[in-house]
Amino acid sequence: MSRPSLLPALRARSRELSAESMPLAARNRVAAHLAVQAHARAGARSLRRWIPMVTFAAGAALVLLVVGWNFVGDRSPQRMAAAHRVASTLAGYTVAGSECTTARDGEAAALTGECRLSGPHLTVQTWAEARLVPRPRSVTMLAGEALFDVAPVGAGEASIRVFVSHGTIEVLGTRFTVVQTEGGGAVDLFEGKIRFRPSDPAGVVVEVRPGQRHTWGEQAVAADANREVDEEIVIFGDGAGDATQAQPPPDRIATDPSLAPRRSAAPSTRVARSRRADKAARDPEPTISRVSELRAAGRYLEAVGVLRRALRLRWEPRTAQVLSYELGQLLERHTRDPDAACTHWREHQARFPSGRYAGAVADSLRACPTGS
Amino acid sequence: MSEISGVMELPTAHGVATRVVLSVDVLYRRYHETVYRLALRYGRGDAAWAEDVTQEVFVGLLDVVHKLDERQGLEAWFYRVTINRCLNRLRRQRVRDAAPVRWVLGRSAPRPVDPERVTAARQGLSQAWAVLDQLPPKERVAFCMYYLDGKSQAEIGEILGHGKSYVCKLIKRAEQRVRRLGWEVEAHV
Repeated sequence: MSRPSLLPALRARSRELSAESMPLAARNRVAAHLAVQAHARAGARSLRRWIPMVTFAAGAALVLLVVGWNFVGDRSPQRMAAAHRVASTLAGYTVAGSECTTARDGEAAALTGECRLSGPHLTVQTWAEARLVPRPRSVTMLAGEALFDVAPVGAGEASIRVFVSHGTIEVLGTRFTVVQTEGGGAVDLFEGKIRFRPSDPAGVVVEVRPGQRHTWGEQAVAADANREVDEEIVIFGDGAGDATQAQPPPDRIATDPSLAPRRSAAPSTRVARSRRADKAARDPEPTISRVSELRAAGRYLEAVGVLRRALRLRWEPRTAQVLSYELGQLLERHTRDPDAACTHWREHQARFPSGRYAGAVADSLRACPTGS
Repeated sequence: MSEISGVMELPTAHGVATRVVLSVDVLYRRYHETVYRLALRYGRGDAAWAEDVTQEVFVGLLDVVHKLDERQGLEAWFYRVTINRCLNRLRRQRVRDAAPVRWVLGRSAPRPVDPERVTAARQGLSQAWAVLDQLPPKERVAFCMYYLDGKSQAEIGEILGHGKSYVCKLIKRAEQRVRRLGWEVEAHV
């Protein structure tokens, strides 16, 4: 009997996988981690690099000064030295960056290339074309994409604001990117906390948490249509005051198959030793879908129950962290049991001491009584 | 309208950090899909696994970005680094799946592929993919690079750090294992 050929099936599967894109939340997670690693490493290395760079620069300037003095004659040493220093500010921000060009148009600035605007309260980085209006405690994003790094806002201080087409991002000390296009835009939050206040007075103020994306304008409409693409957005999409986020109305649950509970793979309540339980433990999608549905319907206690049962199963560490963080959010914001929330946050912190939500969990624990 | 062109970067510690951040950020935006998809294929289609590999590749890039010359094309560099990261992960996974380690970590055994079930089913992409899981990591990677990515044995050797004859041996062993599991592998054209 002839054997089946392996390669056609392998190639078909390989083609399928080659067409898959990295989920947005995963992309943002890695990007945030890279930024932290880059600063941590470069901060230690750059000091060692900086010294020879300055020495070389000083030496080069000295050579040029000598040459200039000898062969040009009319160039002052001060002018030669100044030519090698940055002499660029923009509305109180220091502008730096290799291949960065800036052009002013009234209050607005058009940035091209890799630019870094450093101010006392925030830093803005761009890497392609962007147009914005920088002010001491705010930036208006007109077009393009930028990474914002904001120093924590002290008690009593006004929040730093980023104005976009359809509202204001109020920043409480954090790192995020903003994309603004003609019809709308999006903010991706990596760390900390921000609030989006829509321009429409009837709109709902949205608090955005790490790992979330909030969209406005045309992008919000597109995000609604493609909500099933990124499960992690859905799971965090309906936090407190989050009515404009990715929360489907109840009638959508009935018609949207991606939100229907997948009973064929429902998580088992037994301790995971059976093959069926192992299979469910590896695939969090049914749990996430069920929790999202319950949250959208305002059935928070049931969602808490689903997550508690799910967390008794074995998950890979990343999935366990996400589910645990989601449970903590539900307990903190939607149940009248702050003790349960604090107990859970302590357990989460003990289990994932340096996990991706460590900062957010620490913030929540500050509100908890100590020693209980 | 005034214009400031050719802004030179301040040689401060923070400025150097920014240059590194922006360089890697640009490369990440340009190549993260390439790396992710490659890791997805070599990591059994596991998205979390692929994300981890992607992160490892770009964190590693932080140390060498200043040495790379983008004019020479970086696709080959990313391919080589991603493949090696995948291989390392597959090896670590194999160690963790060994019985004594599983006992220490309190994990259940990975579900073995039943050869009779594979032979009897003989259909489905998942069965074909499961065959790869039975190959030792290096044989699996060499086999995939040869048959799925169309790399020559010399190219595979260069990426994995082996001679061409050893690569030939790896591929032949992989082919023999595949046949023992009831599948056929056509000769590479």
